[in-house]
Amino acid sequence: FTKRKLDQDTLDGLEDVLVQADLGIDVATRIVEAVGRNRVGKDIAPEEVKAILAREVERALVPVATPLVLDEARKPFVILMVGVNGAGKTTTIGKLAAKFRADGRSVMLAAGDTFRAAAIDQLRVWGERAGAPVVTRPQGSDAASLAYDALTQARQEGRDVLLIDTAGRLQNRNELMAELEKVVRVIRKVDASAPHAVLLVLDATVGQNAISQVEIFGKVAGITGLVMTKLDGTARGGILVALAARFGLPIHFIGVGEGVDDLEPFAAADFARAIAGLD
Amino acid sequence: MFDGLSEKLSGILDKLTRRGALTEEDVNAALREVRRALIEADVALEVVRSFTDKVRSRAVGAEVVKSVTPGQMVVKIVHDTLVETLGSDADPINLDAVPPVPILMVGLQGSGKTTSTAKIARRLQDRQGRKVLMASLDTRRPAAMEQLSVLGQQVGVATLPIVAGQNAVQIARRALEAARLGGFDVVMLDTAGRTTVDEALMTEVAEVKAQTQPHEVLLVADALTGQDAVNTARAFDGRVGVTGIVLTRVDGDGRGGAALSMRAVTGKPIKLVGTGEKMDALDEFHPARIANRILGM
Ligand SMILES: Nc1nc2c(ncn2[C@@H]2O[C@H](COP(=O)(O)OP(=O)(O)OP(=O)(O)O)[C@@H](O)[C@H]2O)c(=O)[nH]1
Ligand SMILES: Nc1nc2c(ncn2[C@@H]2O[C@H](COP(=O)(O)OP(=O)(O)OP(=O)(O)O)[C@@H](O)[C@H]2O)c(=O)[nH]1
Ligand SMILES: [K+]
Ligand SMILES: [Mg+2]
Ligand SMILES: [Mg+2]
Repeated sequence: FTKRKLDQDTLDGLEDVLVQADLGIDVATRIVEAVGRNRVGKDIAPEEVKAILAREVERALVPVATPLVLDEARKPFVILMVGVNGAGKTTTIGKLAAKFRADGRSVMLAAGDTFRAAAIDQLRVWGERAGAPVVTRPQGSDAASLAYDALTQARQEGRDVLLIDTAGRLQNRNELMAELEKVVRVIRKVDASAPHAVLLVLDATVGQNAISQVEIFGKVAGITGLVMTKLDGTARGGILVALAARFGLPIHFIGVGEGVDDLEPFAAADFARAIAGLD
Repeated sequence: MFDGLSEKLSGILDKLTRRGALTEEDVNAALREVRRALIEADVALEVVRSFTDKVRSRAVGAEVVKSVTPGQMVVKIVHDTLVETLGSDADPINLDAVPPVPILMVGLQGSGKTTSTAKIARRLQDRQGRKVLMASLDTRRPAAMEQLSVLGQQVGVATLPIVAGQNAVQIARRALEAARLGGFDVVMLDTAGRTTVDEALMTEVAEVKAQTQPHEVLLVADALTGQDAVNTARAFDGRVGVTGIVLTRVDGDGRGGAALSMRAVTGKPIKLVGTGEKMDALDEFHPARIANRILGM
């Protein structure tokens, strides 16, 4: 490599890379400052600069790269999937169900999206793919009572895991958030410790609005972790770095396609390299 | 937020002794805050750049009139330039062709294509008295075709009968044929969601376009999209020649910078906006509203 003095122009270029990956201006500035600290004016090869950038991004992500652990004492372990419309909740439930099945667990799905057209059929197909029964009620039924029934049934049948789907909702729609709150409340009537995980699903293309999503879904449904989908596209999902700094919530999985196996554990180093434009 | 920007610009500019016209230096200081506000609103960086260049050239030398402060003056120039870039007039769906007029809906996974297809079909049928046929070419997503058919029943619009085993191009041909035979005015083709780097699927949609010669190709995109909006808009426009954009989830509290990004890089109008899950939640695009939102007004 030919080395060059690290100058402000190079640092500005790095900031652009981060902004274009959706880290947001404040976090981008902070990370680039860390890259420049004690290095401005020193001779560094361009490739090395990117590696340093990746390391700084990784540093922000390592604390939140936490696997989803199913507490064996909870039977069923209840996972509630929440998020805005179209983020990938139903698909991710299908992928998770297949994964838990492959680990030898008995899984049940609850078709808690009783609103959207054919949402129930969609989950049914995923249930078949994963080999997990799906509890359904007709479209238009009350989502909270469906969740109640499903948990009661999963308990009776001694299932290891219950995955509950919910309708997509935007976090500023108060009436829909109240409905979600009710789902959680009703689940607790069956098992006061449930839901044991509440996963917010984020689309990799999402921009700064994800901050408000985490804030409000967190308040209403008590989210315990994040999943980011659609990282097989061109979006880098850098908002996760801003979210990590601000909320510190675990990031469990990433979605990398529409197939049943297209779910991977979140790996801070790989994610950071992609954001820095390496690989 | 707009108040935030407004205040910041006032803070920067209004403490300067009032001169006749804004200097380059004044404007550059202000534009740093404008840049920041636009990035916070998810406007893509390259669009931020060309936009602030445009604002700079308009603002430098602009005479500050007695009734306003320099800060307000710059805010007004930014706002007006935003509205202008977003497109000043409502641009309706064009049906000016020999029926059945094909409309092709494209976009990323989950952006709102199927929902918007049904909303638009309903509107064309109920408000403009067109006879519309909808067809789902989505052979991939579980229950995608059922979804469109349920929506068709809800809004009272015909859907093409589902035939298992056909590929997207075959379904599209069948839809056109059925529309011709059935005397339909419009045939709406809903497609599977696809990432723009999925070469096989991008080829498929290009093939559908070539076979059906749609009069409108509408890119359906999420208003909550961040910086990726430019990649998505460019890639779809490059492959299938988008004629307009449908911006969904405008009922969210996102700042909507994606609208500016997509409009700026494609030059294609935003034709309609989705404002909810329900079938009547579809509105004309009002540039000033989105401009206000981008600025946090
Ligand atoms: N490319 C890609 N597509 C995905 C991924 N995850 C989900 N999708 C697609 O995104 C679209 C929406 O996914 P859903 O699972 O229906 O999303 P949802 O959050 O349940 O949507 P609503 O219930 O309507 O709010 C579908 O076309 C999925 O196939 C992913 O990781 N990569
Ligand atoms: N709040 C809100 N939700 C919307 C809007 N448009 C669509 N949706 C919701 O977004 C989700 C995805 O919509 P779809 O129409 O299934 O999206 P799609 O692009 O067809 O998805 P794929 O076919 O999987 O690529 C659904 O939950 C819709 O109800 C809108 O304008 N506002
Ligand atoms: K999205
Ligand atoms: Mg769903
Ligand atoms: Mg669809």
